[in-house]
Amino acid sequence: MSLAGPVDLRAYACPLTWVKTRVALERLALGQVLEVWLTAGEPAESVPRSAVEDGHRVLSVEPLAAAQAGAVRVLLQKGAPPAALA
Amino acid sequence: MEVVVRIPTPLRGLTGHRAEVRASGGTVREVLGALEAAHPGLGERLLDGRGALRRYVNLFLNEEDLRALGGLDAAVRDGDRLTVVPAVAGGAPELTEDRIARWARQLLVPGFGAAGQERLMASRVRVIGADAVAAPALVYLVQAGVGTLWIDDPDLVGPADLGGWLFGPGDSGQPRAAAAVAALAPLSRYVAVEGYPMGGVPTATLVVASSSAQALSSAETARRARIPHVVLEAEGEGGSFVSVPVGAPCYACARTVAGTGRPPAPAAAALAALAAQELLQLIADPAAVTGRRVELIRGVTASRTSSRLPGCACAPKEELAPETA
Repeated sequence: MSLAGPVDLRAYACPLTWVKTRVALERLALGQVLEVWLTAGEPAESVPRSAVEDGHRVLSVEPLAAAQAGAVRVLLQKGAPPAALA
Repeated sequence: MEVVVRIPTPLRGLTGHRAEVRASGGTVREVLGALEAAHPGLGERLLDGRGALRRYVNLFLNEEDLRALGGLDAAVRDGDRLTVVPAVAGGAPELTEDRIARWARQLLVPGFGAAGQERLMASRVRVIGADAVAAPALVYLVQAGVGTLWIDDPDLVGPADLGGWLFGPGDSGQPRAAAAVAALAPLSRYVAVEGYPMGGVPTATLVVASSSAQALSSAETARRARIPHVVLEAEGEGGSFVSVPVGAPCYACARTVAGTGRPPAPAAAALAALAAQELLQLIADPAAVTGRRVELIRGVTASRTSSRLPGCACAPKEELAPETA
């Protein structure tokens, strides 16, 4: 399993956290996995939720190593986008 | 033989920001050699290491594609015009960090995304007409981040244009295209806003015609050149626009004749914004747009897929039955 990233988005706020994740996912092949670093709290909740809404899979959400307190590491597997709105 | 060479925006850094330069030679190849001597670095952007025209560069000699004229050894005459047009594929700007931040919300709209935004950034959009009806569409296209916006309007700013989105009292009597360029250019540093250069080949066209006859003729010109286009007509209580992707039923097939006079300004502005949005979709995700006609009457929209009138010249050749033509 090839792992892309990590994309470090700890310095960003909504909506850029998801926008940058989405742009990174768009550049991957179906099934590839992207590693994203996010601040714990709102970004760590909303980015995985948006990813699921966009047809991707959340493989894991776990705290980053102790030195990076307050941050989470999210693994997202690229999926097919939901059917386009008519 | 001295020819006038028209330089596209991305290469003007090499010509001291001049849009036109002069160069001499007997053939196009010699002219390009002289161009490189006068503006070092320009040659290698146009020709590859073996001296062939780069795949993503198009050259037009007096509006004819050079490839159709026999290529670089085509002879030139005094006063010929050579136009350099970078194609979409190469040299396109990247979706950099600052650009992602600039279009963050648009990137989330279905049908856009990074690939769509990059197609917008590489696009050259010609807008025919820059009156009060077109103004909201022009603003929208600039804010959405098309690469180059060419404004094509031969008229002057009149009383009906004032007080709208683009023009103030000081613009009265000025050429509309120039006044629109001056108003739009400061809106985004990512978009080149220019008057339409004669012979410029756009990747998409928005027609905001001042008359039905002009709309029909501009749409037909775009169709024949295989350029996707959207035609906007504000009329009656609102108006309509027709989108024509390459190969779709033409504007003449999809239009209906109805309504008189100009709609109220808010209705016209809503219509123009919708038409601009349709054109952006056409560039960002061409496969997602089928040709259609959208009406906006008294604030309510209705959309109808275009169907081809029997025997219309816009049909693919094999569909035209010869015995009925």
